[in-house]
Amino acid sequence: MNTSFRLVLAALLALSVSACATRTLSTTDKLNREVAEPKILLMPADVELSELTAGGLTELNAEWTLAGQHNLKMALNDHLHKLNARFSEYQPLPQDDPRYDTFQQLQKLHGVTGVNIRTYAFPPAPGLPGKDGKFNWALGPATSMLGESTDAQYALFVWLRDSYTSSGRRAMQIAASLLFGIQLQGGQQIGYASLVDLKTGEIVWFNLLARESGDLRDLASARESIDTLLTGLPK
Amino acid sequence: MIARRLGAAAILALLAGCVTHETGPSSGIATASPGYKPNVKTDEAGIWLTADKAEAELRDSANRVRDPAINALVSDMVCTLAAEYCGDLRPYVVRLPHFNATASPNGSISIWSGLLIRARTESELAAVIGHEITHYARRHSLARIRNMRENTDLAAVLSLLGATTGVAQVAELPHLMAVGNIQAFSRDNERESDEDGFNRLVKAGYEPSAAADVWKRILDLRKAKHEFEYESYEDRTVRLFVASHPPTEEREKSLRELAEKAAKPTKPPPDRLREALTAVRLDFLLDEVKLGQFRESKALFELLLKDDPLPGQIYYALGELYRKRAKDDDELVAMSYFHQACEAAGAPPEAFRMVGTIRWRRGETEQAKEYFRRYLNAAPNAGDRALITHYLGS
Repeated sequence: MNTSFRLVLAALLALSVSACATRTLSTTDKLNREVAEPKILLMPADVELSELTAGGLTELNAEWTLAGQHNLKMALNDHLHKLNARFSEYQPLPQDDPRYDTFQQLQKLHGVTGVNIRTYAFPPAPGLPGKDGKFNWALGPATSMLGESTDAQYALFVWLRDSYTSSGRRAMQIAASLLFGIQLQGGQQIGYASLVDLKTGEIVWFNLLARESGDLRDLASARESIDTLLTGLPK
Repeated sequence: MIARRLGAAAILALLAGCVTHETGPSSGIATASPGYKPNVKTDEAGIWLTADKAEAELRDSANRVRDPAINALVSDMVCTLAAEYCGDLRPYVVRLPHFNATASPNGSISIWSGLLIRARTESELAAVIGHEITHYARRHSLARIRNMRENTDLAAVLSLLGATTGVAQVAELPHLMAVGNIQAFSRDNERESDEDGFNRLVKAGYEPSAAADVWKRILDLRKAKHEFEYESYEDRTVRLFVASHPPTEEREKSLRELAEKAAKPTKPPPDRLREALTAVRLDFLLDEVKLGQFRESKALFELLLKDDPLPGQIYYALGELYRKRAKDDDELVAMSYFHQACEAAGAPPEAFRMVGTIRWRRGETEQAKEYFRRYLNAAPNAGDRALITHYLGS
């Protein structure tokens, strides 16, 4: 396990024992409404739904994951509609498109930036010295190209890991609790969502989610999960 | 209290039975049929989804080698070694300077640059690719993951039972046993891949002894390293490929025995590897230099020099090896290799510049200028042309 991952885990664990399931960092609470209904582009969401085995392995479940990805889009569409914003989904370009590399690199850059925000921007992490306690992260000017070619004002990045306790794990939990009074780790829902202003490249809102409940496998529960994940999204 | 513990222990004992039963025996997995895709409801589909993600990342990675010649060769080799899976396997050449290749459960295969410069013939490369194809065909990833689940499930249950004794070692033992079982299982898969990969090699008309030869080379290079150098035996190059693999000596021996029994190819096997590497090999050699494993790199370069059609590249890499180590008289040794490179076939233009730069620093201005001129002749459009012209004018 590498160091940054450990830090993320520590931060997420700290979050999971705190009272609320999410914590938010943002530069604004308002969407830019130059366009009356701003278009928010969902970037390819990194969502994995897994089963926690009796022995503690996390096994990706393809069927749940595909359902979860679908439910995420449905729930997100409805959520944005209520905010008077338009939902749109990023369509990957063919590899020979001249914009292909730039758009792939933007997604990778956000991946790295997201890990850094998760790791360093939320207490108990001490924060990066260069940031001086401020929340000011950006992906740079290349985002405007993405905005122009998709006619979107914002891009939304989602990273989610949802795990569910298998029956074997549940038996282990019961046994461990009966025998020794200890609590074995069960399923969790952890992740983040991040909103990028495509005109400026700035990350204007970032929300961290960690809890031991939540379900993306069916649409009704997924709506609750997405509403929680989008707590405090600029309106 | 004791009664409660016994009760829970009994539940666990029952569970242990069903946990192993649930996942089924890992050995009885059928060979993948051509065009095989797992049903979305299976654990295998989850494994494939993970592999698909990794493949997408690899496809866009700057480390992927996009040179058409080497890609055409490995694609052709894959289809020669496994015609039945030609549409299912996707080989990628990756710029990673260690001796390794990997096969993913979804059919993507990574062939590392460190393997490409260590294999001396197409047959040797085919031996390794054949081995990897078997991992795919026999669905070893699935078998390994199921085996791992069984072992960790069982270990968790046994260790909870063990903990009721109150003795820490008894609780830890099942985890050790699980690690041992998982590794042994993995070694069995490797032996199976060695054997089946060998059969593919022979059937495709490649040289049967190539499988043993490539392992012999890895052993020799490893020995060259440890004989002279106080480096850790935790040798990363070798460890990456042999962790959870049988000992290299054993593999070489078994593959040698198989080769002795096998029929010789009826016509000379194809050997297109060197030609296919023309545009990319120098970069691969210089990546090897950056590993900072002086002895092994030197042994490798000297081995390659024996019958290489482009020795200029190898002399240049040897020069870089010494120049970068920069111990005692290393710069002089480096310069002598750069000189040899300049007069040999395949010399990169940078060899002339290196001689020029070193001589300039040593105050040997006239000789330096001669080599700077030769550099500009060899690379008229060099990015540093203005700088070199400035040297020539002073």
